[in-house]
Amino acid sequence: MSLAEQVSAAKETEAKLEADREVLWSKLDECLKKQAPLLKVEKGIRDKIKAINQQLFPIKEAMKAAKASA
Amino acid sequence: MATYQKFQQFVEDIAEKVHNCGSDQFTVALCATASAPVATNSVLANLTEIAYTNLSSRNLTTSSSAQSSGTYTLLFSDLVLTASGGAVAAFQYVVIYNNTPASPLDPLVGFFDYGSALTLADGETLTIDFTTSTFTIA
Repeated sequence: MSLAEQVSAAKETEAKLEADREVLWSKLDECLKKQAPLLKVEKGIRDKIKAINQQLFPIKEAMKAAKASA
Repeated sequence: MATYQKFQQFVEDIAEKVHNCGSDQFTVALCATASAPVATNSVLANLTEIAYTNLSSRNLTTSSSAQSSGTYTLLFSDLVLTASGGAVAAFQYVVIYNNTPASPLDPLVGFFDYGSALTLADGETLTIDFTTSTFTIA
């Protein structure tokens, strides 16, 4: 195969792969849009967990300090 | 002081949305001397854990998950493991994994090697002190 033919074949492969990727990105986009309501619920739950973690931290630190001074 | 070693897969998992360090449930797993973890392990199923009979909760509490001047720091509250009702099987390695993701299931974070086997007799405790950071991303 000549160099020109190799370049032509590579370009064809590149175009096909990029087209396939476009299709997959489109499907991924649809998938994420469908998940959006659930992701919103997940975000709310995660925010509540973070808030609890922040409340727990000083409690655990105080218990650690109490144990160290006992 | 026990030495900390990260699992190699962890850095890819961080970059590819496997972990949410601010709110996921991280847990420790314990491995015996004969079942040493290696850096190329990626999920909990790769490891052989000891039996946890008589051991208290292994769940970690994330006390800080934030960035400062561009450096992210994750810190867990110290975890006190207590043997209650009898001795706990001997272990040498304390492994941190993420108990929340379903795919991949239970991805690994890192582990501590105590250098020799530890045994907790009934009523004894082991404190895992994470000092000022468990890990940082800069």
